[in-house]
Amino acid sequence: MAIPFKYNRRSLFVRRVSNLMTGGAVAIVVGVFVAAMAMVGGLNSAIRDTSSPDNLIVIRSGANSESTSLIALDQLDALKFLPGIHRDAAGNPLISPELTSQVFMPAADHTLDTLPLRGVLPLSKEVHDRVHIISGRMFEPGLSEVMIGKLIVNQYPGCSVGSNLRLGRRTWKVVGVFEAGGSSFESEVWADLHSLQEDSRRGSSFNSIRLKLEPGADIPSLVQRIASDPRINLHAQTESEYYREQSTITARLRVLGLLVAGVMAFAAIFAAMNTMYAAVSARTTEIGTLRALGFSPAAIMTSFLLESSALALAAGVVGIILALPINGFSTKFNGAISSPTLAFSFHVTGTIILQALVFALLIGLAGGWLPARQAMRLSVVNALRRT
Amino acid sequence: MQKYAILVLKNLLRSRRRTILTILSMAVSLFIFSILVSLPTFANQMLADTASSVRIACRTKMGIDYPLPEAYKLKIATTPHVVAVVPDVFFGGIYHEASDQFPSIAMDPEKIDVMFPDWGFSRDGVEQFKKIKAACLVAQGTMRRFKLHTGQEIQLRGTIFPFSVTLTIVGTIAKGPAPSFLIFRRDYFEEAAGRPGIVDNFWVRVDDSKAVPEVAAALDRQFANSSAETQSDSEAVFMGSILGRFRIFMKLAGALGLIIVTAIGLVAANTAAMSIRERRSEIAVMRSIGFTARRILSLFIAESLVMAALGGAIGCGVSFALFKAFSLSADALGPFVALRIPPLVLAETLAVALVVGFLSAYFPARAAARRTIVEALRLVD
Amino acid sequence: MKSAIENNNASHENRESAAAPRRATGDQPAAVTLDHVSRTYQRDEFEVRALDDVSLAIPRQSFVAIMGPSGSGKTTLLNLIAGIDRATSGRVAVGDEEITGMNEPALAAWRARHIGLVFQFYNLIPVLTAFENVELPLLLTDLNKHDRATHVEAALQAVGLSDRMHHYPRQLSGGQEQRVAIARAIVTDPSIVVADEPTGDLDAKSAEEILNLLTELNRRFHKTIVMVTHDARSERFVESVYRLDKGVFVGTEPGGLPEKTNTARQAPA
Repeated sequence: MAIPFKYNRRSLFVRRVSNLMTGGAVAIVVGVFVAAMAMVGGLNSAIRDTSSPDNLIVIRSGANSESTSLIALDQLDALKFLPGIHRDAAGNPLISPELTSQVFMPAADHTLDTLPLRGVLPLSKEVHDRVHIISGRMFEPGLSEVMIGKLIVNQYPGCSVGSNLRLGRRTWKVVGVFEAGGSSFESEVWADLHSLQEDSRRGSSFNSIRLKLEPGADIPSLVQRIASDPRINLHAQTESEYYREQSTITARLRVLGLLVAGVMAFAAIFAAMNTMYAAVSARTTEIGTLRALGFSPAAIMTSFLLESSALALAAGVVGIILALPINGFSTKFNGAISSPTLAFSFHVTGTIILQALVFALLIGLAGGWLPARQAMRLSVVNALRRT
Repeated sequence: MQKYAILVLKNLLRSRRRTILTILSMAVSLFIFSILVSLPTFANQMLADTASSVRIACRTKMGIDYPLPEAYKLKIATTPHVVAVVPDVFFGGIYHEASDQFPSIAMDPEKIDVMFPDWGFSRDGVEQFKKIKAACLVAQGTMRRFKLHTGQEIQLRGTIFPFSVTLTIVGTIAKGPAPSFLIFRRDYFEEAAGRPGIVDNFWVRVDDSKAVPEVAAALDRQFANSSAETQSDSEAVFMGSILGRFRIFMKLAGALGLIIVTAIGLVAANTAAMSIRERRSEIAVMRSIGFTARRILSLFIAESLVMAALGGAIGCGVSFALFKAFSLSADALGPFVALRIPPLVLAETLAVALVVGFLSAYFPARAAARRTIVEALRLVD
Repeated sequence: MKSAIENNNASHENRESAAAPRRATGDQPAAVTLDHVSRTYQRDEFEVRALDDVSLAIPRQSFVAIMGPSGSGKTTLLNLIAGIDRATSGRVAVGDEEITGMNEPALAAWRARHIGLVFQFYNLIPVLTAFENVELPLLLTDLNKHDRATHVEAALQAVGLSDRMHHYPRQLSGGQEQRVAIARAIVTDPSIVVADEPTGDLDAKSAEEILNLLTELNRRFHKTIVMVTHDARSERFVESVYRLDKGVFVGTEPGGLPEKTNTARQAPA
């Protein structure tokens, strides 16, 4: 049978000051891990598209995102009646041509944010079926009216229903607020397509087309048709594919976050190692006694590994708790000047907590491994020696 | 003093493993710390460089898709105190991969040497730039990064604009606004773009830095209430607003740095506490021989300082060497495309290491040294 | 109250005693036999000969002392008997088993079963109570919690410390700690108890108490007790004294007690 855990628990308590300090270091590292992952998770959510899996997004061939794409009206016309595109009861294809624009918004702290503007037609709501108006109403086509995503509310002066927002060349009236299933649309301002085209002098062109697929539509052949038809010549992909590609920045940040946490983990591991070595050293006689009584070397090693793991796990829990308040903290993410300002909130999920616990456990095991091995290898005779 | 140094060293070498583990732990933390502290320092340095400028950035107030008409150039040029005007358009093309992206800007060539004397254009470079339409000037960092040479032709794929440009490198920029950077000619751009007549930003040079606020206000006044309003600021403010976009990184870096210092403190304090605990009998004996509490205290502090200094040196050394060898390329980091650890940061990191080393040994050691001899001896069993 | 241990006792080593009369000591297999045993080890560049060609036998159920000047190898000898060290050459047999050839795991298991260890500095685990310390060897058996408790209580009662079961070592006096250690040594009912300077750290009164306790373990519970000591007072408690000098077995002398040679003294008291 193994050495009872109460031996480890009480031994940890005996050297509590030392263990508290080591635990503190581990807690800090785990807390940093949680915060980093929460930030990446929050950013991912902001970029993630949660709208229908049966939407396609069409952009210019060779463009790598909506904002760098350009589509002309005749391309839209050629696309409209392709098979596979869902139609409404009246037979109109559910197609949403969209114009995206970034406008500058001076922010409170003298920074320059870029606010994403999206020009859409009224029927776009049929295509973006996760978009719901939660206050006010949709804008009237042809007028200088906008509706704002719920993350924009009160972010800048004039961002509330009934106020006026100066965007581009004119002043717009905010008539509604919408939510969009947690997707990045919630950081956008939506206006009438033609009004926006006029205001930004873009003529009749736009950036992208979104279309709703018929149930059971043959997606690959539709994509092929859109690309190969010389009148169209555009690049189509499902919305989820598109957004996955857009999230490379968060992928990079995730790697960065893991790197920082990983490097810091080494600091914690070294600290834990130090503490455990000292503990083994102080308890040499105890170890010898246990061996003499008949406990196997494996039992000794397991015991010390358990001890360092328990310490690290407890510290990890503390670290998680310390990092929890960051959950829901909203802030803005500004990338390169040509990308929109992303409003996002830190999001601590159950998965992150689980990962953090595993992370803490690994630190404990890694830090305790060598000292436990040394404890195991003590020669009984030497351990019991009186000097 | 010499004898103490030897004593300190001997004590550190006594439990080599503990000393090494502590140093490594601190080195790792200080490594991250030095990188974090570099971010705002780097940014501040960039701002400081442009602080006493006589340049104004007169740009569109509305948005990226709302450029200014090129006709403004003449009106700006005739404003009092204005010495030169250089319009620019942000092209933003990709050289190789999207991840290799660096800023590329189209400018009017006539006055760029007057406007940007501090950018360090190569002499022939500017001459050729003014003569050859498809010329471009490239930052030295970019030349190194992609192993380019003068005379080479490069192609930039358009991102914002639906066309590519093929340019010939005629010279280099020593010290531009970003470490990776390329300028080509706006007339070439206009021709390729179908003559839209647009400008994202007018660089305006005034004759006296004191006139900057006045001129900036005058420009904005002139174009107010038109269909293309401007926002004019001194270059320093303009750079500040761009760098300000990365404020969240700065804040996070700052917070993280603080947290890391705490972790370092805990590690160092733990080591100090452990060695003190194990040497209790020694301390008692030393006290009874005649060592003062203060001497003993300084001994422990010295040990901690040595470890902290070594940890700091290693941590800094690695971060410095790392960034010298590799240039970080990440579009998300914007202007921080080629981060380096400035000497100021190295000094700051070492200082933090020493302070933390001192404080974390001070408190446990003081308590230990202060115990009366009798107490201490009684604890010796 | 001792019945549990007695039952254990009966079911193990001395199964014969209940059924048949015991043979004379001289005919019994010895509790401990060393046959040309040497133990040398490396200390830096020096080769130290702790034991040099030692051959001896310790009779069953005897109470003996191993004595000699410092460095004579007595602790090494004890370690070999206890199975916590290996001879460099020769055979060591304890009970009916030759332990020389056993591998580590087998030795560990054997120790748990057949040997009780008592140390000079008690070697109690400081974070465990007296009860928990005594329970330790039982954790290596298959006994359930309840049975273990029964054995522990019996052992503690045998040493007279039932009222201190839940005290921590630091709450006990030196003599009490050693008694707990002895309880731990007998809780699995081994036939042999080895003690390394059991009275070394005790004052005269406590030392006497411990020696009396060991005597009782020998008399009442028929345990072979092998004690390393340099305390001359111990001589009057033991039957024979085995002398070592510089790693060599010099010989035996009678102790203060008569040897148990008569066959009459067989049945449990």
